[in-house]
Amino acid sequence: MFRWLGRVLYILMINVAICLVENVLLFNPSPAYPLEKGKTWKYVNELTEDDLKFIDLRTDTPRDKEISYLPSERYPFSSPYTAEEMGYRAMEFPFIPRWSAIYYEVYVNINSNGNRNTDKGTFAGLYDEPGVEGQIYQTKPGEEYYRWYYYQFSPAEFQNRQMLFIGYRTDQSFTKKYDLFDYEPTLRKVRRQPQVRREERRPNTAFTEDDSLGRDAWEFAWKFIGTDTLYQTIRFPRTRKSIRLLKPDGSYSDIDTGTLKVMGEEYPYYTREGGVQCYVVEAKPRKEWLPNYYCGKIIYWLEGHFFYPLRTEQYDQKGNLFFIEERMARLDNPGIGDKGYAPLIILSWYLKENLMSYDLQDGRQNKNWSKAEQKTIFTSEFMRREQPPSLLQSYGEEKSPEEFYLRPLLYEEKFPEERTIEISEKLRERIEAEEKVGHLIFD
Amino acid sequence: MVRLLLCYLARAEILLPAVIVSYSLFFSSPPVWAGNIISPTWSGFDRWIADFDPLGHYVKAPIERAFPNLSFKGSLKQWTDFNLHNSQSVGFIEKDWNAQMAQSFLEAELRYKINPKFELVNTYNFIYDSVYNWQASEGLFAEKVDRYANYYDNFDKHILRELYLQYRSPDLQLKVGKQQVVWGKMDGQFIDIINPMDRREMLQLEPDEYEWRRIPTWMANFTSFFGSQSLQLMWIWDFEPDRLPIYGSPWWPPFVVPPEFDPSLFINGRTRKPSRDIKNHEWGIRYDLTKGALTASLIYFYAWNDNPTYFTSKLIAEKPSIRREFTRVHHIGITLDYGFELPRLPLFGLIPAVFRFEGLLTRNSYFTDYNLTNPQKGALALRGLVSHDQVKRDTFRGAMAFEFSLPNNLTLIFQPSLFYNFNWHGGLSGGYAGSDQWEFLPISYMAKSWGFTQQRLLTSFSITPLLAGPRNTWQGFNTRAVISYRFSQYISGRVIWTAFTGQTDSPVDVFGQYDKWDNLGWELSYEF
Repeated sequence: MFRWLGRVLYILMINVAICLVENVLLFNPSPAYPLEKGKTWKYVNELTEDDLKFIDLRTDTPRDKEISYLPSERYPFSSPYTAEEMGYRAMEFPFIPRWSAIYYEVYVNINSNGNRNTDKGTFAGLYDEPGVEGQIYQTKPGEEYYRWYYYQFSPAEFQNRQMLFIGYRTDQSFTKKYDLFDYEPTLRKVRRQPQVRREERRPNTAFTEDDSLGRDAWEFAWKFIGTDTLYQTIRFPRTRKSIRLLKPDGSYSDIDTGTLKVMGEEYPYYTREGGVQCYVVEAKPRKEWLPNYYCGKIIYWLEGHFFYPLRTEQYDQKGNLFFIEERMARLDNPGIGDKGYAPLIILSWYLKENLMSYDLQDGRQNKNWSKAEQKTIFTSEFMRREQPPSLLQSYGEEKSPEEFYLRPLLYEEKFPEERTIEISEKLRERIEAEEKVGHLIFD
Repeated sequence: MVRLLLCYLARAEILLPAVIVSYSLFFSSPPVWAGNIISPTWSGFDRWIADFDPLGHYVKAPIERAFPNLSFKGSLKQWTDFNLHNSQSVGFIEKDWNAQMAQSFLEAELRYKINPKFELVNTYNFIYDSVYNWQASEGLFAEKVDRYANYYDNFDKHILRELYLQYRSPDLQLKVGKQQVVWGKMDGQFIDIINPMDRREMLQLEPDEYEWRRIPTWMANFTSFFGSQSLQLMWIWDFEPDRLPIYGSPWWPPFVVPPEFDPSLFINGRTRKPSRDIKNHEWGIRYDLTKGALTASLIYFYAWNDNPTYFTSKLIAEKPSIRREFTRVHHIGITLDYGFELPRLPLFGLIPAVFRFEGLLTRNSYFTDYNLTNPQKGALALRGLVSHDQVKRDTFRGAMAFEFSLPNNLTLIFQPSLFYNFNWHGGLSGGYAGSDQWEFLPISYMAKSWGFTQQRLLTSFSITPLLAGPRNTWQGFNTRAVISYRFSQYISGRVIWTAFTGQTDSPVDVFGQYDKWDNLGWELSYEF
């Protein structure tokens, strides 16, 4: 009798001890991140004379003589910048960098139940004329300006699936963004597929085709909203202390998540408190270019020196926020200066479905593809070989849903005249609870 | 106290599980029962199933860890179809079954990278169809005719699906061994003619099942890549015919009595496959070209017809003597696809689209010519069983498809397909278009993925009417509705409704003869 009582007591004691370690010592319930340092944002009319030196508030600048929809000033422009010029500069940084490179992608989606999908693959890009300059001045509408090749490793259903994108410079007369070739291992056929519609989300995905391809600045009307300082974009949960990243030499290293910075180690313009100063600009689709576009407006937080888009918000036709994208970047191609920043992690949150996706671009190696490689890796029939361009993979994914990145902050107090944020009470409660415990909570 | 603690620690093998179980149930935050399979809520199930991959964790991962150059992939599938009609006689068949298919499928694929240029690929398949075992049916007895209908029983022919060595350099690829090769770009079989097919599902065989129904053969496959062009050469020394439904299986044509069971015929020997002599090998060549928005392939295949021709040689014991032989054919084909956008339309905006075309001209197909047939055997000949006098004809099969990407994740495909016999006259029977000169199938397909399920729910509907001429003008239509759902990245499920509509009692009505074969099915798939 006493022996059994002793055993039960023992089990109870061990349980209590584990609870203490779990809840008190390991997961201190203090806020996950320090609060913002006072008011970080200003409307345009609050800017100082010094601030205004770098920006040009005009919205109707002269046009280019040859290409009527481009600004007359030659890209990459010079200070002071109009909001439109900043939009062009931000074009330099879409999901996929605008130079020839190969990287290893982990792409994960999570819904409000915690159901995750993890895709892994290798991405290779080929540019003859890299950068926005190559696109807008050296390529005519209808001409090809990039090739992207994707080789998928997982999940098992899509193992050895491949896609080849041949991208084109577009304008109003030539609207096709790319030709898409798809190799499905179960069909064993290379087939041309219709371009995915610009407003569409692929299965389980928070972002649209336009979010991943990038937008052309000339399709939008731009204006300044103000400035802001961002101290954090991608936020790791308390449950995740390290991330395994791939170095360009092919080796792996476990990085302390607390050491990762918004714009990477090399970025020279962090504020004393570690923030990144941003211009906040609004882009509204031009009716003549994008009639019935799915976004009423887009607000960008563009880094203040290179115009890297650290945060993007999309508002529907009624003006309500429905999508947020945040990025953590790093200088992956120092050889081309400030244009060499590329995403390490892009986190997207589609508020309407409470769906989040992230794209981790790991182990990027900049490439000067040989003629032989250009003629093999970047041609459609080559996909029949089922030959990955590299055997490396990224292992930068989380191990459980609780280790997924925290959702982007709403910053409801910032620019209230320009931003309408209506979320359900249930979602608000969930966000508060998540901020308290420091990781995602599921239904 | 310390002694007591040590005493309990010594019993850790008993206590440790107790600690783990009690902690999980009552102390963990949240308790396991609050958010997993035991949870009655959909969200708990959804989260639990997302990570349900036992074979991935306990089979695939350990194998790949132990052999770093080996990649392992597998799938488990379950396909079940239930007939929606009462038991009744149709033609010569007693259609008295409920389950039309109850197949369990297992596949394992191993890829071993010997070095960056050489890879060994080995795939195994196993199928077990339980329709013959768990329902009392007089109409289903194919497993007694051939066990292959019931389960794969031959390791070399069925279970060992692929085994080939491949060499790859930037501009060359060589694959030698048992393999399947797919030509063409269309949905459906037009120039996809290299491997024969297991047609046990007859009219219900869908393009997304070809991967498992194609019959791999031993061959050498060489491809040279030069920029946007490639040239492929095929040398096939292992001929296998199509496997048609076995007599006594659910899809045996109801108005046909197999010659072996027809007392009015004399079967002169077994169907003999061509010998492996080099003169009997099959040879193919394919040229591919990509130019801007256009991609094209040209093919030539000197092959054996995948189905034997029935020759009547002489009367034996007052019965026509049937000799079944495979005959040579020449296939010449083309396929192309072109990507474009339709101009901006109200409500639809810009519509991305693809045009595909595929055509195959086959020379030297055999047809029965009734005009040359002895009138005394006319009755048999009309039943399509006796081919007394055969003539050679050329045939064509081809299709064009227009695929549109519409708003709200809606896809529309319109694919008119044509089967045509050249130099046709009213006395001919056989060929692609049966006893007609032409058949026309304007196939329409529509699919939509639903945003509120994060596109995990996909619904589709297709309709395939069959028109022919000049003899049998209307031959019914086939409709198919599918609801599919991706439970996770490993598990997906489908519910499928298939219907055949037409003139039930007509042996020449392609869809109508299967009018009582309408069925509701489900498919569960687990890939690891």
